[in-house]
Amino acid sequence: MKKIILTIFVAASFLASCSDAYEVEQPGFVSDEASVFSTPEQVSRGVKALYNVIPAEQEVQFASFYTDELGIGLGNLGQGTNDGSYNFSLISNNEYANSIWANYYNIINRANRIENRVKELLPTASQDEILKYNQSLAEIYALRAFSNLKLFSYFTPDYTNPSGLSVIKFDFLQTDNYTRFEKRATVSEIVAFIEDDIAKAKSLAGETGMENFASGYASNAMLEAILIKLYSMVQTPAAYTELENAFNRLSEIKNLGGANEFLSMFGEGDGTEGIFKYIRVVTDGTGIQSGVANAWYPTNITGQAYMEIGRSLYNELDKLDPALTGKQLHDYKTYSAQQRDSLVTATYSRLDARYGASVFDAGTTKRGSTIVAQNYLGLTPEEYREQDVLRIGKYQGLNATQRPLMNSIWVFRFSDMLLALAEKRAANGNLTGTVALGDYSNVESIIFNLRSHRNTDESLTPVDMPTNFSSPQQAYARILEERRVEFAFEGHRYLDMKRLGVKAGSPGFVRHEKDCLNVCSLEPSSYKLTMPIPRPEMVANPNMVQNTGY
Amino acid sequence: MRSRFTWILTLFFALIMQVGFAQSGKQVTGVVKTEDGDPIPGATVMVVGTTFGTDTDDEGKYTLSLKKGDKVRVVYEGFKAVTLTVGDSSVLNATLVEDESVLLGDVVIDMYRTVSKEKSAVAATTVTSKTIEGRPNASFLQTLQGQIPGLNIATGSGQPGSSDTQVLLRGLGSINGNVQPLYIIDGVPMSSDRFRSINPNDIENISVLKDAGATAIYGNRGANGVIVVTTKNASFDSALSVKYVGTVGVSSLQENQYNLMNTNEYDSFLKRAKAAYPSANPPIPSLTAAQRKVDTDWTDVFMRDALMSTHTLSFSAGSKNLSSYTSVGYSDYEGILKDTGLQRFNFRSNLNGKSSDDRLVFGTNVSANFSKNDQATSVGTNGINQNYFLGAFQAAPWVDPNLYTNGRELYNNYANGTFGDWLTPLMLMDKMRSDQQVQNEFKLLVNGNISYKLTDNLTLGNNSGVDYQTIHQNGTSKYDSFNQILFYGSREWQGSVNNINESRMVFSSNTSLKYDNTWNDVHTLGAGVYVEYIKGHLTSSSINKLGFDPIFWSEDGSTGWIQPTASTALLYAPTASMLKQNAGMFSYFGNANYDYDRRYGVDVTIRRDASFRFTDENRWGTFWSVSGRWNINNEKFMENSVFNNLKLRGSYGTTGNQDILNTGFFGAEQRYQTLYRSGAQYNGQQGLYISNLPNPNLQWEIVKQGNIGLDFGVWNDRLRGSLDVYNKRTDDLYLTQFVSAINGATSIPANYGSLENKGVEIGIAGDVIRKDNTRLTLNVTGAYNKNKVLEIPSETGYYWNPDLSYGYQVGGVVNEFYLFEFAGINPNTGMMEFYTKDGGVTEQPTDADRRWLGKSSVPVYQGGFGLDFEHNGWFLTANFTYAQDVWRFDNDYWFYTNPSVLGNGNISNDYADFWTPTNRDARFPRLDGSNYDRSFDSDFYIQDASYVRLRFLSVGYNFKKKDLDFLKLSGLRVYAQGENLYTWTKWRGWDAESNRTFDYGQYPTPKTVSFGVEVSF
Repeated sequence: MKKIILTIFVAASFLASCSDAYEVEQPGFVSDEASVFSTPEQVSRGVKALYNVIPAEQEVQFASFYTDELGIGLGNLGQGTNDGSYNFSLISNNEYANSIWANYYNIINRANRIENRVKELLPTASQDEILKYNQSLAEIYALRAFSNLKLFSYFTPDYTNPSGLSVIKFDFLQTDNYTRFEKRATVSEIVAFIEDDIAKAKSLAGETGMENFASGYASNAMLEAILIKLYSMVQTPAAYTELENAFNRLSEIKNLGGANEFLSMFGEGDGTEGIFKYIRVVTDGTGIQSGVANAWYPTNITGQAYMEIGRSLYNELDKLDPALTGKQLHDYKTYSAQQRDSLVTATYSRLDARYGASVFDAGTTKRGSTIVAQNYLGLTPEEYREQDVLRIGKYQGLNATQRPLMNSIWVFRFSDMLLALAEKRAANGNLTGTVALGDYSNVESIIFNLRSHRNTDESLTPVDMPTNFSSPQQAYARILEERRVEFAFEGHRYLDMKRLGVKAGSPGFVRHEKDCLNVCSLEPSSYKLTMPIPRPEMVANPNMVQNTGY
Repeated sequence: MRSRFTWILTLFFALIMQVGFAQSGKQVTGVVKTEDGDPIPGATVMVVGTTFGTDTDDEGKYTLSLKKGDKVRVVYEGFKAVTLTVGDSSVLNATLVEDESVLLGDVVIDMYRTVSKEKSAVAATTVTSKTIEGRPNASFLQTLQGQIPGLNIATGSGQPGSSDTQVLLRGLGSINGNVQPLYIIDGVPMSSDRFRSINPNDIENISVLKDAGATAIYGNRGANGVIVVTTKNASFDSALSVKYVGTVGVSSLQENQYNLMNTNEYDSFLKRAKAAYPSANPPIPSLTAAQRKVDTDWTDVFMRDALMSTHTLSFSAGSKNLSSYTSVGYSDYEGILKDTGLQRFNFRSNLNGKSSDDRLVFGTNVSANFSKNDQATSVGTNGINQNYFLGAFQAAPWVDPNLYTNGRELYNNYANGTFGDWLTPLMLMDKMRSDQQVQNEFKLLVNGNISYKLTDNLTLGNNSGVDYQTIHQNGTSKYDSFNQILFYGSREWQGSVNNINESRMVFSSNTSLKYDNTWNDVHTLGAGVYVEYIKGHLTSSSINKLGFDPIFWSEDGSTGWIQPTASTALLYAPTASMLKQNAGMFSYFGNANYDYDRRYGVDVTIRRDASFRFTDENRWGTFWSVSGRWNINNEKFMENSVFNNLKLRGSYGTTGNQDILNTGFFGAEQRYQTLYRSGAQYNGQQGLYISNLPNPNLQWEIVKQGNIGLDFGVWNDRLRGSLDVYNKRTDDLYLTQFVSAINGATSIPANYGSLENKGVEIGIAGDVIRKDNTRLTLNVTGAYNKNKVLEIPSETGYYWNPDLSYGYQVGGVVNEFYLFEFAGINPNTGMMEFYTKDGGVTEQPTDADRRWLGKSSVPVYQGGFGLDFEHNGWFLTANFTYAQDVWRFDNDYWFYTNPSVLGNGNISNDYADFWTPTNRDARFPRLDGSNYDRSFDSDFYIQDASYVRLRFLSVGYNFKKKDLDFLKLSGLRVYAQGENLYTWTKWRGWDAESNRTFDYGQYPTPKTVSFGVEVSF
């Protein structure tokens, strides 16, 4: 008896002393980089994952709230007001600033790691593999240049001061040395860094490499676009020369398309104008509320909106077709007071495509559509809220039943580059002159060309043209106005004002008095046109210097 | 109850307490019994004035050599001692009466050892079934509140069965890691702190172990204290006893002090606001004539008086070598929010056996529990169509609930805009009708223990157990609900079901070799060596499905499944996920204790632990403790003093915390490595990416604790209590370390920083009246805990997570609010003003203007006080709890005083004091847009959440045995009781006690009135 019991105890203790209790293997955990990235295909999958980190939705949403693009919607429940964004309250823990900063540095960190891994793989790679690896490297440098361009544009206080503070120059492998704290590099250092990456990408891509990608990926055209946007910020004569060179190279592959092609770009189309877009598909996101438009609409763009088009922006869009300025979208025949589904008896379609691209029109039903009050100035606040419903229509959803708020987002379009060229023309004093199709020699002609391609009658003549190009300041003002309607809700307005506002003599972001809450405008010289360095970076990094004002 | 104690103590006294023998005189024999006639084995029979005596055997018998006139004192823990005088007879029997006056338990039970209170050198408090039984709380944790000095229990949810109860022992010992104690039930460490399946009526006692002397033996998980739960057992040689405990009661919502508006008040507020701010944007709304006629109390629509009932039937019996305790229980707790509740079925069987020579002792505990929990979802969120409490608490009084007919019509009204923005309560009425979430939990606790005495002094033992738990959660949203139409109305099929299945199994085994011996009557040595092995496996899977055919819809939603086709795959194909986790720990340790003459004792523990969470270099941790005691009352010089108990204790030692990210036994694995994952699709392409940044330096959080305590009893324990002073220091704190974004993340978990908790705990009880039929006991527990951040290794000397309103600065308190200080409303502009860092004021403060406010949501003072009164079978128990110097952010109030809510939801009458050009010294800023968003980062809404609460009140009658004879009952007790009856507090919300720093739209704990009966056959 005693022995049996003893045996049991000894066996039990033996069983209990196994080290498997602490050397626990977690099923499916992989920690070895070499076993994750060891073929060109795996490296390519690593690069593709980087696109997913681009905070494109946040950029668009940020620019809508912190500029004069939005007004308060009928279904507003404190959106924009409770967090102060509608009053231009921008603080150092701004979620958009945090997201933009963290995500673009995340992309660079991962890009640098893959670059390092590819360099380990290259010596033993076959000729065919080397070609593929080089393509991935080209894409990595393109994405790194792109990320640096974004960081540069949001966080640099003064683009035109070569020795002024910009962002971190992140050109090294960073794995787990968390005590490495970088300083902000200067403007000229970051500009050179971006130029260098573009050059590397071009040489690695070779003759055809980057051309093989669709507009959702890095491409030769995207590389030129990065340069053009970069030089438009730097604004030195040398930079402007480079801008024009890049523009000329870009013109060989991209050009303005017609108005209907333009409209199709906000669906699935690429057009001849599309350079780089952030592709979204119906399986992205975590549900029906995912997508760029979820900052303005709870569930779909016909539902009650948190935010709608601000009146000051709407009026700019409305002005594009002077014959119909002030008109409503439709005349409805109303059945009864209860039933707001109504029959359309007349339609006042604007000829300039940019009105239709930005203003949502549900057509036959008044409910869920844009309702324009012609006498909005005379309405009481309540009436204005209910009778002047201006719906944002640029992102109409990939699929009404699956992702009604989600859309692909354009990052670079040709017209953006063309207007960048116009900025150069304005700087050089080329304000007016020959105004003709295909002539980009002066500001007026560039705007003429753009507007010609936005006329939905496809006649290639402008619906209307601004007239005052009398001074560089006026020319800048025209460019800024043109950009406001061309790129409404595409995330440009904030940076456009930062870059051009003072030169254009603009009053800055100005809400219409009907939309005004408390703080109704933000002057273009405000410190708030540079984003704050996010709080987590300030807390973590003793070498980081905060931007003025935060 | 006494009989079940017997078994535990038999083992103990038989092994350790071998008192002296031998004396000349005649052989006197006797039997020591209880009032009920049960023999008491292991009682000590001492000859008064000597150290001679003996223990009773298994049948309660003793034999001593005595002279006529000798006095013997019969002592047994839990009973009043009696002194008998030897007469002519050679038989001297004793009957012991249970001593109910004992405040603190008489034994300290932990997983590894059981020590008499007298010989215990540690800070521990034991609560017995007397305190726990029959209370109308679904979780026994809530019952412990105010009973144990230093144990702070804050329940954050009134959802029956919620595990949202924060238990803090001696303050917050960690910041990001686990702060809750380790729970052990019948020797099995729990894999989680979910107790919804445990029947409180099965609990015999709960020991709360506090200082390092008590907890170091738990090493890796002892850092935050240990709560050891022992369930009921039967004694050997006992007749069948059957007992029924039943409670029925009703719970209701507690009061609030938000001073919310009725329709009239709201209407006149809007009129006044409109007049003051005619051009505000968004415009100040006005009520319609129809709305003015409505005055709805929305809490009545969503909340209810909830019924609860609980029934436990237990059977216990024992033969010579075998005893068994079996109980079955059924409970039904309705939640005060409609359609929430908990139903529970429990079965427990404890079986104990021993060999005739007492060398082999074994026991098994099997507990099978099934519970069904109807849960409210989205509680505490801002989803106006999801969180019921926004309907119950925030909805406007002028909305008519009769406007709700069905989901379709509600949706049409929403889409048409015929209703404004105030649909919230109607959406939630619809959700209540059409959504449900039910969680079924099955929990099986099985454990077996065996011990064998190799020699008289050496015992080999093993205790192995399994904690097995499955959770099946099923949530449904009906096809015709508002939310389904809102989100999926454009599809052909609606209705959604989400389903989660999880199972977790934790096996633990502990093998020990223990040695006990006594020399020369005065030297007692006990020692043990142990090996412990714990391994756990968790698997979980989930499925989400949209699209059901209404013809075949069922409430739990698995029927009528719409099969996806190639063209509808994106709409109707279910999404699913799977998860697998393993965890384990391994330890070996030893413990030795030495006693000299019941006067001095030392206890030493050392333990080596390995955790699966750390790298090879950091895997093992060593923890130790030393404790000592001096039983002053056993000294010669104390012989005639009033002290029947006076003991000084001291301990110092270390424990560890390996639960880095507060994920429990599972999770937070391999954080020391770079990990990769497949996923992150772009344009439908499967990417490869890094999913974890490594911190190879992660290691144990180390807690060092010193404790000095005094236990005392005077005038035969008429006044008794204990006092403890401690200093507890946590080093290598887990904190979210912010890192530069160049690392590809902005933070990683890391060990850095130190904090300390210093405090005093006191528990005193006194019998003001102590007569045979009348007894009045007053008791008080109190704890003062001062925590301090000692070290933050950053240049600034502080640590602040920028997403939070609180942080940690060296010298400051833990979780200290770090906010702008509100300076007042500018009388000229109506804007809020805040102090700048230079002492000026500004409307737009920046981060540099933040201040450390010295306030925290962790209470500094907390405890309880109460009384027990008994008279001729009547009894009254009252128990108050309190927490002082505790501050929280009132997020509900923020919405009650916020212009964006006007016309949407209810507001406070306080808000009527808003700024206008004619009301310049207003409490609230101007209504037409302001910088009030900054108040969210300020102390404007920080509220004193101190409280005193009548936590428990019970009145009842204990029938005398002789009155029950005709019913053939052996005991009958009836009582009425109340929980949370009244609270004195400045906190405005429904529940001052919440464990959260921010409170918004939460499920408050209720007050409960109940009636109970206990019948013994």
